[in-house]
Amino acid sequence: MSPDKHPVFESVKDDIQRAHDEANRLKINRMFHSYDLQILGDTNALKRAIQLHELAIAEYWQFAFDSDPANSHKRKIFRHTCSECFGLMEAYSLPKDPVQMIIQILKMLTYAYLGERWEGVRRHLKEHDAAPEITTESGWDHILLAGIYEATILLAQKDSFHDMTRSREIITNLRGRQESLEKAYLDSVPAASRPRAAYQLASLYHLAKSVDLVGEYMLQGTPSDIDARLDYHFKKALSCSEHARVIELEILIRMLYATFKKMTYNSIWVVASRINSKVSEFVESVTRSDKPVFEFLYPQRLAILENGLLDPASRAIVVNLPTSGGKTLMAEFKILQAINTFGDNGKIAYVVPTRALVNQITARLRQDLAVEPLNIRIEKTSGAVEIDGFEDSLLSGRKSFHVLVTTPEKLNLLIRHPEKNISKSLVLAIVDEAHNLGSNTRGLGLEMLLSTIKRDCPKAHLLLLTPFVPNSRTIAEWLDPQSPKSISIDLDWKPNDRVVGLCYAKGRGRDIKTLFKPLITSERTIVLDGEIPIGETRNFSKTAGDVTHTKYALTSLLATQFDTSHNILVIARTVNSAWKTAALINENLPAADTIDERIRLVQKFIKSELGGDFPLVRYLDKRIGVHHGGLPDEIKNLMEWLMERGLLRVLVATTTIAQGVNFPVSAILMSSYSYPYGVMPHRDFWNLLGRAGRIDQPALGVIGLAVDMADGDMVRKTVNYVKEATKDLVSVLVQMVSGVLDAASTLDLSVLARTPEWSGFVQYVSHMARQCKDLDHFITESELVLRQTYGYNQLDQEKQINLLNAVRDYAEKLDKKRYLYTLSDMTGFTPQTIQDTMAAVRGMDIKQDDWNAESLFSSVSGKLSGLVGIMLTQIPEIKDLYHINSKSSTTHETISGIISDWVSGHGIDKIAKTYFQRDGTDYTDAVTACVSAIYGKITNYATWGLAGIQKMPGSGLEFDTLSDEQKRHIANLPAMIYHGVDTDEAILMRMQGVPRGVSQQLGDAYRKHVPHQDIYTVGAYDVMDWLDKSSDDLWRPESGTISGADYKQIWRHLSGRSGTLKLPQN
Amino acid sequence: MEIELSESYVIVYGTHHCSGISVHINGLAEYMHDRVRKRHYGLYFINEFPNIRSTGFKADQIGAIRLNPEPWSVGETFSECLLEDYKDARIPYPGWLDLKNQYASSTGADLVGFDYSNDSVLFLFGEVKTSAQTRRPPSVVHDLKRQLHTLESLETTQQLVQWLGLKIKTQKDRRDFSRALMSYTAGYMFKIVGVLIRDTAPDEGDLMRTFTYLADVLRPTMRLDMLAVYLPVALDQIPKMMDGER
Repeated sequence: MSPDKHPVFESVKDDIQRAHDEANRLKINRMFHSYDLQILGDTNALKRAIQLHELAIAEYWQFAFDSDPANSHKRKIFRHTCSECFGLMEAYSLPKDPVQMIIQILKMLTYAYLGERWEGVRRHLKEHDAAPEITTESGWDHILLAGIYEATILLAQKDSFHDMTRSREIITNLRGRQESLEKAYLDSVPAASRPRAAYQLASLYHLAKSVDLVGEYMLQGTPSDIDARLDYHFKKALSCSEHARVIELEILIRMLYATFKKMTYNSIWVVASRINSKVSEFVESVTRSDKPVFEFLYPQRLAILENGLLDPASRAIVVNLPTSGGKTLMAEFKILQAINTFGDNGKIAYVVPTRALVNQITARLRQDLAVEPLNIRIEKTSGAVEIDGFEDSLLSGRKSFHVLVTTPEKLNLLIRHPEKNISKSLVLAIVDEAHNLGSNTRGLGLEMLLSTIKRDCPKAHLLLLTPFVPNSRTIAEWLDPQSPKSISIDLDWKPNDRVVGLCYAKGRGRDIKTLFKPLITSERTIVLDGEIPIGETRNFSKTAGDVTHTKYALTSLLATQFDTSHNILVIARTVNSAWKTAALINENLPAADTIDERIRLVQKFIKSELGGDFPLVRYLDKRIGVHHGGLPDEIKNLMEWLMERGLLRVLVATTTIAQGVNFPVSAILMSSYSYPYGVMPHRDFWNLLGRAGRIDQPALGVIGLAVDMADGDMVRKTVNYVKEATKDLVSVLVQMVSGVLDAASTLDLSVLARTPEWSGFVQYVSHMARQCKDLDHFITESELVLRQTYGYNQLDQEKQINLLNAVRDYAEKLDKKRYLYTLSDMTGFTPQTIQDTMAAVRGMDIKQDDWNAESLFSSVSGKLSGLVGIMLTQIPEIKDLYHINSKSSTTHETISGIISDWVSGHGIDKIAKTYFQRDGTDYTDAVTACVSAIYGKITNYATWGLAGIQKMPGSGLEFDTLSDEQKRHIANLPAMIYHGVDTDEAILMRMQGVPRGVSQQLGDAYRKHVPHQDIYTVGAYDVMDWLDKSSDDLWRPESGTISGADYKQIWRHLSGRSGTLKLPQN
Repeated sequence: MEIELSESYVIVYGTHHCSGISVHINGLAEYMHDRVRKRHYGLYFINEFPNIRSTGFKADQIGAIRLNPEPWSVGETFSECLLEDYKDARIPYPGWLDLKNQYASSTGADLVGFDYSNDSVLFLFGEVKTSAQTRRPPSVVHDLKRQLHTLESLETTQQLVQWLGLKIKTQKDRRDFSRALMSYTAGYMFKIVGVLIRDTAPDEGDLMRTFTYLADVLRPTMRLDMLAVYLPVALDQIPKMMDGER
């Protein structure tokens, strides 16, 4: 028996397990619709198990609010038992009798609260609209009870500020009805029982007052002595109920006492009184927002109130918490604390791994923090590894900001840049998805960024937010050896139950049965013996043979078998298989009854961008979405938006979605758990799975891994994969050093510098060398420099010496060319790359006059083609630019042609046809290849390459002779590639989320609106306000089928303006 | 503070037990006035009605209701004291009534506590009936039979155990609760006690049929203890004795 189990279960553990199985089976069955539900097992077992849990809870009741460290294990058992009891009660039917129904629901509420699962009961209450029928004839005592119940449920659901107000109104209304109803009731009771009946009413009055008090506190944080007041009214309610001698009333009062205590303890107002004025303002603001927050989730409360997240003494805090633990709110509190301490002088960086997340987090932070009276200024950078004119203006202090949302690569560049002073003013860096430290592709960059912050930013505190890192303490010790803090949220906390299992098919010909077999996993997921039927069909467009052996066909069938109220994420192995899956689902799903107007809007946008024949338009008719690297960012963003709003039934995506999306789903069906470059690390797998069964999702998150049962090897691998525990996070540097030293006796950094994977480390060394006054100084410092990294400390001594020698040798070699260090810091390339590139650029004989959009991006000048040639041959960091799947063999001319068309505003459809559609091939494939090339390669690498080349001697640019505005315009040339436009004004529009198709015309209109203003200094908020108020006519694209009003609406959603966002005045 | 008791008859049926206890007049008045009174008013003599005003509801109508101790409740308290003082039992709180009652279920027991006989700790659930009738057996015995039979139900006892668990505070009670809970959950073992209080001479026939019936039908894991208490004074004298009218 699990150590968290109460001893009372010992003698009946098999019965209890059966009851849990039964509850879980019921929950799993509810997820599928096509199978005629059999209620398996007997409800008596469930009932008995609930009773036993209730008794166990009663026995440990004293631990509900106990804080003695000696009792921590019993507290854990108590919490666990409450949580389990809630889980069982969720599956159990409600009594018909209205009073019994009320009692059962309120008990369930209590167990959920005490089991730290308030968000679970909130979701359950929304899903199950239980309405006990109590009428005026029912008697005053029942009317009171029903009113108390209704008001309490509103407090628990806390959907809106209005709900909370309504809760208080119910109590006020009861007071208004007292006089007449009370008398009639007391008169109806026999005289001998009247005193007890009166006590019973008195008890309910005190209970009603308690609900009212909690409502007031949740709404406005008053009365400040809420604990004492609740104590008083509950003690009175109990005393009265003892006189009334109604057993169920007393039990109920004790339960609600605990619930309300917990509710106020969880309240977001608790923190307001403890921290500072900024926090109070924030709390007031979030309780009144569209999606109000009234209570902390368990991990949030644990981190903020109990584990010192806001402790100023800890320079680095690593918060290890499950997906969905509410980390953004934690980050917001940390931001407020930093701003409260440093005011406008401190800068905060919020680092996220993808540009999609840059946009999402910026929108969220603006919604929460850029409001009156907080007025915190949130800016974002583009995802490109370069600093455009607008960012330059921002960083040179011409515009103020508090928080900069950015990617690790970009922040690395900003901190190392010799002319930007962010390193001195950085007071807090929040690193989201910090488990990427262990990623083979991006881990080293993140590690070097953190090492650099530690050395370069004396005032900076670090907050790392990460799921599934068992050794978070080690990471915290690396970042702050003096006072490391790691906050690990109990791994047994989960917002929702989850079941992971194999999905497979059986059958013959057209007869197909699908089945689900739950698996034992390394995480706490539900396990059941045996297989659970999902559905059976004779109407699927593939045969049993296809479905049994082909994963995409299997996941497609399964996706059609879920209840329509659920939204499902289907993970395909490749972009191609994602399209095939979506097509097959589309073929087999009946048409949706109604299509939400927001889906219609997205369809119009896709039609306008990619043409009416683009299959996604059709799929959306059946509420099927697609999300992968072959779709433009805007469309992916809109898919996420539709999914988040629950408007899509199925979203078909590739595994890359594991990085950086943030929407909840009911179920995930996976044909693959591999990235294109290898098996998905367990951390990423569980992080992705964390999206199923999140807050506000159904009672159970289902994760199905598609397998062919005939393939024993596949089944075995899958079963073992989910069983393997998440490993400690180790530095990528360790693997790199070991990899080289396994094959060679020494490390030569000047050779390794020419391999992209070593670039980040070599740049780190170069940056540190630049900061030392001479070689001797660096030699002395070099070990310290290395010790700042996470990896060096994990290497064995021999390898440490090897690496140290390599670093010293490298610095010695470059000592005569120290200017390369500076260029490395400015470009994000290694000194070797710069050296090689400089020579090639000189050979091109570029003039200053060539650096303008018209000349550079014209196909006539040939300059761009030459520069792309250099990028492909000389710059290993961006060699991936070459991997473009165009219709003929990809050359620098092809790439520069695509760039020219892209920048000059050609639509994706046109570029796809010109460069990617081979004769007789599919248009969708061409669009997919085109988008992958542009968004996946060109916007990242060509932008970076061009920005780097601009800064090199031989580029023809003499910055000393240029005005600031000219410099910024030139700095914007790479950004034109990034955004696919060719004017500064259009870049400005793109930065505010304006779709590319209308950014040019809106940019022109904005220029006319502010003819004398330096557009490099206008605030994002001004531009957004102007866009918000601009006439719909300005939004009508020159070509395309979408109206201006619709286009504007799309922008509102893309930029997070669709809520009632109020931005501060500049 | 002791009273004199004598066992008039004993019937044993397997592990079940039934006895007639005669109460002697010596010491009864003191026992009622000191022991029973203390327990009775210690729990009941608080008027909570004026506090209603602090809830925003009005206290006028309820405040006008008079609170007087009721005779049957004195009988109940008397039984609680007897069980604690002479029967290896502990009743930490007064029992609960079926108030005909607004909260639907007829859950309730006059006696909820612990039984310490046989070197173990079991939950004790029981009912008390008082009768001033002269007929044998008195008609309340029928109700007693029905109610004791109800106590066999898991529904009823589960709620009583839960109620007790949420309420108890002392470490000793917690320990006893845990021990009793193990027996309750593992083997559904507990004690059922039925008390009849009357003011006649002892008669084996008072409880005989009810006892043997229950002893036959109750689950073998339960222990039944029935007690007929024969008072030396008229039943209506008991509240007066408690209040000091000798």
